[in-house]
Amino acid sequence: MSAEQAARRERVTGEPRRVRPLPRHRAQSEIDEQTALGGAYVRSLMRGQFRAAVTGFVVLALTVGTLPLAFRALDDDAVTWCVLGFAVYGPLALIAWWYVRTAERNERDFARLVADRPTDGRPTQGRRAE
Amino acid sequence: MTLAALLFLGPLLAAAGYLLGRRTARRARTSDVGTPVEHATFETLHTASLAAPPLRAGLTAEAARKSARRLRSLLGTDALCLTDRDTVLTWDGAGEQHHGAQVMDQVRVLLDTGRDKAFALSCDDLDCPLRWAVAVPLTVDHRVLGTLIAYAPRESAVLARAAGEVGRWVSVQLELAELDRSRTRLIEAEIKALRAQISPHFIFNSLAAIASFVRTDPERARELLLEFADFTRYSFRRHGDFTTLAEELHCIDQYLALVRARFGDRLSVTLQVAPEVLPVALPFLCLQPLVENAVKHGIEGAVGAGRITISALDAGNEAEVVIEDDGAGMDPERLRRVLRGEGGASGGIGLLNVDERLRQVYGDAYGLVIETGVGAGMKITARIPKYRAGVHS
Amino acid sequence: MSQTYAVVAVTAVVLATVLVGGFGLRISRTTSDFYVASRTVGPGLNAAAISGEYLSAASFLGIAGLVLVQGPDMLWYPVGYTAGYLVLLLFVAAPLRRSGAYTLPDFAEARLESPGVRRLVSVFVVGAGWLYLVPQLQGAGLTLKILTGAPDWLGPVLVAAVVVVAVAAGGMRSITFVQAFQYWLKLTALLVPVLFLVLAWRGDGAPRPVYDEPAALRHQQTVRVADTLTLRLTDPLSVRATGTVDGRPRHGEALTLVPGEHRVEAGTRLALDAATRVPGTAARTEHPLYATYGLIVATFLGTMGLPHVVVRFYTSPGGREARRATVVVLALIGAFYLLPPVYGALGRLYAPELALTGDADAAVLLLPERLVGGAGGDLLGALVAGGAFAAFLSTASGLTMAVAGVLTQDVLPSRGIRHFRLATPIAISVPLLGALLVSQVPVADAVGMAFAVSASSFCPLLVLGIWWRGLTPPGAAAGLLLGGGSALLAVAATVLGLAPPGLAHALLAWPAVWSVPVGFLAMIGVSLATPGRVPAGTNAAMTRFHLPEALARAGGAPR
Repeated sequence: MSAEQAARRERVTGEPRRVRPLPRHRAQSEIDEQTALGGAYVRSLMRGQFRAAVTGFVVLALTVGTLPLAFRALDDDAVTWCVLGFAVYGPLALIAWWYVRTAERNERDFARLVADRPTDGRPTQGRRAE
Repeated sequence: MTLAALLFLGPLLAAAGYLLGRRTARRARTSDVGTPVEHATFETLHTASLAAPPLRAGLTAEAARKSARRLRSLLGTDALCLTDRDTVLTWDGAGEQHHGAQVMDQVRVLLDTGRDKAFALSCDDLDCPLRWAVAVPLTVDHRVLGTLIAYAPRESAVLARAAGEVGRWVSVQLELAELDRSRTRLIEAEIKALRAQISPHFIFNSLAAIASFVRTDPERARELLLEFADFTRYSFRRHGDFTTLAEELHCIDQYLALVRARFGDRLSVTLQVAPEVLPVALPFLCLQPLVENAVKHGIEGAVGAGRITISALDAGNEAEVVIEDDGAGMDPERLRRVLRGEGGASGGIGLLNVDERLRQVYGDAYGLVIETGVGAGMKITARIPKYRAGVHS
Repeated sequence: MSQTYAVVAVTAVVLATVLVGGFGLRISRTTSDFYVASRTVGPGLNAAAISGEYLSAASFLGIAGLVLVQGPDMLWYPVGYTAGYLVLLLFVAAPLRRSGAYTLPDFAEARLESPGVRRLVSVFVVGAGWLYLVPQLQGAGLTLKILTGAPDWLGPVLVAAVVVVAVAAGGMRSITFVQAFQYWLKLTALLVPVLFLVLAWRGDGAPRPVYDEPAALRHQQTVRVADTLTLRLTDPLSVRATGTVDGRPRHGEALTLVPGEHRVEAGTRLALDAATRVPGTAARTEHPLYATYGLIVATFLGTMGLPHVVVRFYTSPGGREARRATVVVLALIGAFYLLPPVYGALGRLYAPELALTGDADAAVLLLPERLVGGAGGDLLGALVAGGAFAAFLSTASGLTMAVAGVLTQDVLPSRGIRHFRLATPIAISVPLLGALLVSQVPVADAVGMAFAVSASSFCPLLVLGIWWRGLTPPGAAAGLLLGGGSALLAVAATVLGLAPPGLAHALLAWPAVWSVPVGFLAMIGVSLATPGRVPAGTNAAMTRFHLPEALARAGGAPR
């Protein structure tokens, strides 16, 4: 667009309407009405994902988290150098890789579970999720 | 209805202020820092202003609980009760255990007649301060939604009058709440209406353009038909009021493909998109009308080829979307009228609608900013916050 | 070191940042290329950008410096910085992305629907951001001083100015590309010199690093003390001093400094004989095991709350991509962190006297000249200097943008891009003042403090907010104030030198061990005590956080 054209322009905005943003609780209650139906399903997904996360965290705490105690017991600086400077990164990446696989599998399983529902797509609470 | 509110509010507050002020009025007649009557008026106004916001959510248990305390201090009674048509919503003050159970029986008549009612209370507990009560209806559009009951140790005409006024004031607040809700419904209806608002001309022109390719370039015709199907499917989508910028831009691309099928080289489009802003959530179909507007202006005004630039850039907490054309432009005065809703049906409905919806969702600071002049093209800037509570794609 | 090369390298990095950030690698195409433009940032590019923004002065200079002074225990810093991303991946990454929040205050509002908690979180975001910015600016000052002899204040002012200009020029329009580029620049700037350094080390007969503490000198070395400093010795030290030590003039006579404090005036030269064991000036706390765990807790749990880290997750198209990007980040920064320890180990061999003068953070910058020397050493030194400036600029600009965003939205009155640009100078001037006024704290230590505050406030908020339906606004506020607030006070007391020695000092310098549990317990306890305040939209929020996008968008699935 040419500068000459831009120079002839005038800036126009609508007048303030003192509108108030859509009441938040309305939108949320609508979502709530939907979630109440699928609540049991979502909770089961959350449980699965949380279990995977906690497993990963416990493995991290038991391996890497106990290293300071091990170093103190060994009292060998060469081991500290090798483990902290190099060896520890592999296990970290391994835990991460395992977790992502588990979490994605949980989500796929969940999607299959939900896709099995009748076509109206509103799962009832009657069926167990796990 | 706002006028009605003012009409009710004025006398009520003056009366209540006078009542409260009289108690302390004898100490000083005039003062630079306000007489006791004036102070009492301020206090009353303040209390009323505190009671109003919860009521704007309608007559719910939560709203009743939050406002009852303020209303009771407005009336200066020992106890105050709010009910809807079925149950006691809240009880503020003393005596709920003695009198709470009978309330609905006592006000049943009132729910039908809608007329104030006073009644004496019998109580076995000698220490109970509640001996008399006045109940007033809370009405919206002549329907009784509930009641307000004020309790006192003895019969009091002053309280009866004051309770009546407060009841009417609360009714006004509830009417305003109802108004809020109907306005919200109206806007939701507008949003839904806009979705179906793909112009019949566009459908006709697109299909005609596609038809012209059927013989000469069947492959292109097939592709365009698929674009057309995608575009209409997106536009008639049923669920959710919001979408992502990525999806909206994709829809624009399909729209442009169909437009180009018709105009060919007469239209050139440049896009600048920062990938950072693609996940931003925004109201459904709020950019496509702006592009449609630019196409119309860009081609109408141009002797040769029309040029349109569409950019979506990252600006910290916001995405900045700019749609610019070098076409005929618009008389700024006329545009102002269009944005005020006075432009009539002749064009600009899309602009007005988008401007209104952006302000509705994000607040007045986020209306469209348009730079234009006759023969000077048009540049439309929309700012979209990256996060706003309740806006999810 | 040749100043010319270094100045050219630093200038090049600064100019590239301003130009690329200001004018932007804008994607400018015709519609036929539209699909390319509308393609969102993939996990690989996004991960490089996250890593580029994350690898700060603490990573680039600080780790090697700390390792040089205090030995291998300091390797917990890079391990913690990396493991922090693992914890973030496990508990936060995908749900945080799915929440749609751009900043932490956004998350607080999305989950708790409380403007009060939102404002409180904003205060902590600004606080943690500023705490993190101070060492970036100080690191820049040190780098510039080492390279060119410029005064202390020049580096911080230069970085602050570049950040303000770049943001004002266009808000770093294509920041993802800039940051991704910065990651590879930083990796190259450490990797290439390290290859030459290791070759030089082998040429030197490959002496094994002395694992014992303290490090020992291999050659006779003279140290010039630029600023007056106080030596705190735990063992006697033999030197020949020229200048003023302990208030008495010295003229090159041999001198044995007994354990205790010694004041060495500016301009004094200390000559150290070969095989002298160099003691650190800042003796580690008497409770090394506690300090190590303090560091572990702070870095493991603190990464998830750093403002510039959270902002970057928004760029991922969805939760699944956010998760994958985090794994790539883990790999990228893990690869980077293999390098600083090498510098630290070589520094202990070839530049242990740096530990005396408190300029240990300069080890990375000085080693190429020491080991390689000549024009090659100068070139490698210039490369490292450029990388260091990339580190300051990328982290400082990311943090400044995040802090400025929060200031615009939650602190300053009106909204708009103009205000965002106004907020930028405010966002960086406070830490700039801090960097100029507060006495030097080792870069990595100062960053550790920001992590401790983040771990005690944002970690409970995020983890409980994402996984526990019972969280209430009063509970969140209590946890933020008690956990984050106490950590902030402890850190402030340490920086200002108010902490009494002994166990109390350790507790205050490494607050995370106790302040994180305090934050969690306060949040849980107060939430349980206020069950009526559970936000109405909790179920909806939880569903949004955890449901895969494909199901949420399909509409028919439970939403």
